[in-house]
Amino acid sequence: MIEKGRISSFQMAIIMNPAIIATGILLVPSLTAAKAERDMWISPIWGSIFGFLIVFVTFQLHKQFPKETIIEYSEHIIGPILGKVLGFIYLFFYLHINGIIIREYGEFVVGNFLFNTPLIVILSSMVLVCAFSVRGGLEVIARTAQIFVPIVILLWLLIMLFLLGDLDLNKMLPVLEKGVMPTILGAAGPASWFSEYLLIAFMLPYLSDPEKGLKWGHLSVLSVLIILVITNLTTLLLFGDITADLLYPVMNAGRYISIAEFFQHLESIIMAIWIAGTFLKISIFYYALVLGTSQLLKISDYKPIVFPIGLLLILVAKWTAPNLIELKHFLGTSSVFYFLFMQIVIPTLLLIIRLLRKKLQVKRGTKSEAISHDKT
Amino acid sequence: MARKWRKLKKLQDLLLKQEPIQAVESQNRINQQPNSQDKLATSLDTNISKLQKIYENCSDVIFHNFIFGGTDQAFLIYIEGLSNIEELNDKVLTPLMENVKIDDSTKQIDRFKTILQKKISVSKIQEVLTYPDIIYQISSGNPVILVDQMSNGYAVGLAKWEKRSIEEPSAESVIRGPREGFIESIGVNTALIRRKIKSPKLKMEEVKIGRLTKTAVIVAYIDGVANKTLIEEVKNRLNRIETDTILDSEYIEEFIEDNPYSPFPQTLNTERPDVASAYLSEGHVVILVDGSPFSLVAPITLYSLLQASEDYYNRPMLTTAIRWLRYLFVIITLLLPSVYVAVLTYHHEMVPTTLLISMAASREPIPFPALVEALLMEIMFEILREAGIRLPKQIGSAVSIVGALVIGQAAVDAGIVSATMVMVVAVTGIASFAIPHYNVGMSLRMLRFPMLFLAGFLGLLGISLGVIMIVTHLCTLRSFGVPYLSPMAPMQGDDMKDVMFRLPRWAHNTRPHLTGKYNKYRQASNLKPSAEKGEE
Amino acid sequence: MIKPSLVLLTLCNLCFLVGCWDRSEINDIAIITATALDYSNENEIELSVEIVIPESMSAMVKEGGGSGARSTFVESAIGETLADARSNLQTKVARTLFWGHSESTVIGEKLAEHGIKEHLDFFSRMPETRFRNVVYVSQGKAKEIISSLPHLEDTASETLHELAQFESGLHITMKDLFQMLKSQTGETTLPLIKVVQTKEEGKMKDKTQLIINGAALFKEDKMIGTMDQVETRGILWIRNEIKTATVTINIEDGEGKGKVSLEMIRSSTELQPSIENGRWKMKIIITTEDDIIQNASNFDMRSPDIIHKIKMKAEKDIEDRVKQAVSIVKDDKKVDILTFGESFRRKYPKEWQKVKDKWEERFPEIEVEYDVTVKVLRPGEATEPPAVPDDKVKEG
Repeated sequence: MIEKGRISSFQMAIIMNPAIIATGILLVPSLTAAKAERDMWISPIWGSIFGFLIVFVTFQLHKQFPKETIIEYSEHIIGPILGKVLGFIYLFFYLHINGIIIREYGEFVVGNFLFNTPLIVILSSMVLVCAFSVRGGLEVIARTAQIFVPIVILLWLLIMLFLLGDLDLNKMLPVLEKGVMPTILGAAGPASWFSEYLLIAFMLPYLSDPEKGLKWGHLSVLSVLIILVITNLTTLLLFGDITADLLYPVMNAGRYISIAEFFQHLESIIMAIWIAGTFLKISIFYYALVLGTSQLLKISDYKPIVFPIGLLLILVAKWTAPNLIELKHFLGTSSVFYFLFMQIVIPTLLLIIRLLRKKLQVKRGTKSEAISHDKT
Repeated sequence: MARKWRKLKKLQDLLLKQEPIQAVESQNRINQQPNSQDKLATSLDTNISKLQKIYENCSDVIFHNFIFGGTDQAFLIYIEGLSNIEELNDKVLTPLMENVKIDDSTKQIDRFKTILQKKISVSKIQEVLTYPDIIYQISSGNPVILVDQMSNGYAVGLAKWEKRSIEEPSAESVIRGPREGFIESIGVNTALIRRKIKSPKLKMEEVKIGRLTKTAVIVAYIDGVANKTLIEEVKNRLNRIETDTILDSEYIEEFIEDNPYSPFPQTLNTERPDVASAYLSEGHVVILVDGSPFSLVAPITLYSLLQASEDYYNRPMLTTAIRWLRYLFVIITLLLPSVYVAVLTYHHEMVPTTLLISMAASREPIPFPALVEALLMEIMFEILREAGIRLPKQIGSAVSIVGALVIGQAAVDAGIVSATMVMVVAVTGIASFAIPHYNVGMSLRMLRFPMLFLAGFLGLLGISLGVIMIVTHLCTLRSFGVPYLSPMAPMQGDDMKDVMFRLPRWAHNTRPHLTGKYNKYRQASNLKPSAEKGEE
Repeated sequence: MIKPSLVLLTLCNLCFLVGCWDRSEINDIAIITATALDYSNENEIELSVEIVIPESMSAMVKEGGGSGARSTFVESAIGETLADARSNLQTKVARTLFWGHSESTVIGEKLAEHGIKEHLDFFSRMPETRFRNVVYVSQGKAKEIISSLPHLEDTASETLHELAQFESGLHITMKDLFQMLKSQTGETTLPLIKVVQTKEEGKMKDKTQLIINGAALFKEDKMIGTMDQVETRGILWIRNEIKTATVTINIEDGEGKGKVSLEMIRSSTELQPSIENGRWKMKIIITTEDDIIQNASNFDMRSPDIIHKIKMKAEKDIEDRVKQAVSIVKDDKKVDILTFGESFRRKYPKEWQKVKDKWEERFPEIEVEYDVTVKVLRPGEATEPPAVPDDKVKEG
């Protein structure tokens, strides 16, 4: 095995938490609000179904192949050639999605704070920092997650608390005014974010207590769900109908905070904390990419390819969309099908193929036994 | 002029031509077989002439010729100033020079031994068989007796020299708690630890490191509590060292640490025997170095470096609050100047309006941008700090007056720096001194310069990236295999009782996870005090 | 063959050459505290800003406040849109305009009548501006409002901000304004402010006073009318935004007569919509708790009968106030700033969807009922009026 570190399933859950919410509370509330309007807080619940599903599917696949990541066992399931092709597709997919994430983060920072700084500087600085973390390996990522995630969540909680005085419960009424359909349409964004839980396929082989992996995976999805619902609810109760008009509603909410005329204008602190969350998200995707590449190409150690892939990531991030508007449009529409297909449909298919094959093998096995039994 | 040049050239050639001295075989292996040519000869003249050649031009090595037992030639070799002369004369020379009547049938060596056992009233006598041993014993202050027709000498344990008295360690003073500190002499140091830990399970293994200094380095651990792999690892790393001099425990520290490029120390150094004993009982290994009052503790985590010994001698609630304050100090030391620069330069909306206006007003006459001003003040502060250490005590107070008046007031009045910047730098400096261990404080202080630059270039984004890089580095760091940031990451819930808080003593049932896994329980579990329990 | 270490070194030096792109010194920004938008002509808008002068501000603080010295100055420029005006304004000011601390926005009367939505987009799009701005409509030119020199506060902006926070008039932030403009259920209203140059004694000569003077009513985004202060108070009762109020009533009962003043401690208003037989009704339920703060009558406040009479009178008084406000808004101006539409939408979403587009016609047809409850809690510190001799005190 290339990765020699071991993490506990609790650490895996902690890594996955910012992996979803770091950018899930940036652009997604606006996407959800555009479709679901006043019921935007219900949409993450539909999205979480995909989260639970993918955790379950990945865990079952893991039980079939305890020591391998998805890149490795896809060869076993659908044959060496197809498996390698699938592996390549997955690697390019992770390259692309990582580029999108880095680009989202860069656009956010440049658009809100450092207007004149070239985007490439922001992107490169973050990729450089993440490269150091990835070089340290899975254990280092887990440990940095354990340090930063409590801080990120604590500060998120503080933002929500500080806004309590400005919330107006009436803004969420009437509930389900236009039926359930808008919420389901609005769930497209959260669903594609929840499908990123496929990342645990890269971490499950390295757990020190794999039997708890399922439980902690589900707990992680639940925690993300709670955070997303509360975030959506808070922005809804604060901004009401104009939520869909704002590009980053949570950032605007943060700018709105004013407690006792002292705790105000806190958006820069929010940004600083956000960066920690985004760092963790980019790191784990980066790690999955690097690990997958080294497993596909059968390299003995992934450390030498970290920096070159980092360079590639910066380029993909810059190339992925010509401007923020196209990026947002992509994320609200075609990306949903793209992400869901790659991260939910394909793993489920792999599982089904595997189970079917096993059944066939068992059948053939009993048949041949029966024949040989007859002969004797 | 030309002649001078030619002379220099000649000297240079000579030096370059000189053959490098063959490295003397290192003498720090614990179990090493003695070389055959080092053994003492039977003839006294051979031995003495050889020793005199070795100690050529050493005027402080005394070779004293006397008659042993009334009949034999003998030499007494010792170093002036290192041995106890009165005892030497009384207890050794006087009895040995007496006429001793023993049967002729006894062998010479038996005669020798009998005389020694009967006559010399010194409790520590060691037999020496090789020249290196003799040299070591003489250098350690133990006089050596060589007798004719004997191929073994005896070293008498009469080492005594002037040493510092035991006083309160200056770098780790406490308000409440023991005030003893280690001194330079290793015998006294081991004694201090032995006084605290009376169990025979406290093992002290000795290694001699350093070709020239042959420093005695003692590895202390408690058998049955400390992890055996850890002990092996420490001993292996010590045995690897091949160098000329070991003058301080810092030399050892540099040779055995996990990551020499990290700004953070991976062993703890302490001058206090109670701290060393506490760590020993938790399963750590303590390394004592002769000639240095600072002992090394391995392995450690970042949190050990942020604890003061006084934490354990004061009430738990107070200590918990002070611990949290200390973590705040760490953040202030690292981040305050950079945050100030970042907010002033990039994030003007963060400052409350009235404060912003008054800061703008105070910065009107300042010619420098915020980053340059911050760097200037920080460097000034570092100069003051270094100067304060070097100056003799009498001028020390003058320095503080100069610092306060000149730097503080006059610079502000002259319009070179703004008042808020002086305050920021002063608060940072004081916060960094509040960190108990000096070396961690230094690391953090040095790290704030790169953070200043990052803040100056990218604002709060730069600071975030800097903090992330430091945390990532800390997460990759290990001290003798123990992750540097445990018990926070990887999380050990049980150990948080000593990191986040200081739970009362009756709650500390188990030893910390990573060193004390071997022997988990250290006290009974029902020790919480209350009024009723006293009646049981 | 170039050594890699050389390349690295050059790259590191490069990063010192480029400089920091977003760096701006604190003395290079012009801190704007208030913004004023005025109508210039059909195509153009006039933007005025109040900028702080740092030295004089802190100098004033040090010397205990000089008289007549301005700590801020006002600069204005004209442009096609607000952003255009902003760049024209920048040419007149030597430091970069910084909107991060702007706390209040004033819209001129004339501009309000012509429509404000195109100009307000600037405030939501630019990252610097803040949603927590308080917004006013000015009687007269907005520029005059922000040029005023208040007695107590340092800047006009602070005065505007504090006035809004007392909630003696409406307190509308930029966020509220956007929500109101966007809302399908109601119309917009903004507080009116006017500046008064007084030449009275006891006031400093060049200082002026800013007074909240009612509310402006908008249809879509154009101002169609105003309400005076008393009527606006009625609106506040309905919108559940009333924070402080003093109710003065007249009591006559036999020989005793006089006025009593009550101060409101707490109040809550609930709107109960109902649809019966196709008739849309709204019940306004107001509950307040009051203390008596002045007894200008000769009644004894210890008697429960008197208190009961006071209570009835107070309830009638409040009901009258609210009724008057409702009649102006509903019957006269026909703009739903009372959040009736929102209440109906919450409770009867389907019916509301049907009449959504014709709300202007529906709104005046709503029948309004009132249910006011006043709880008189305490008579203050005294019981009998201490200034009235005992034999004149009447017990009810």
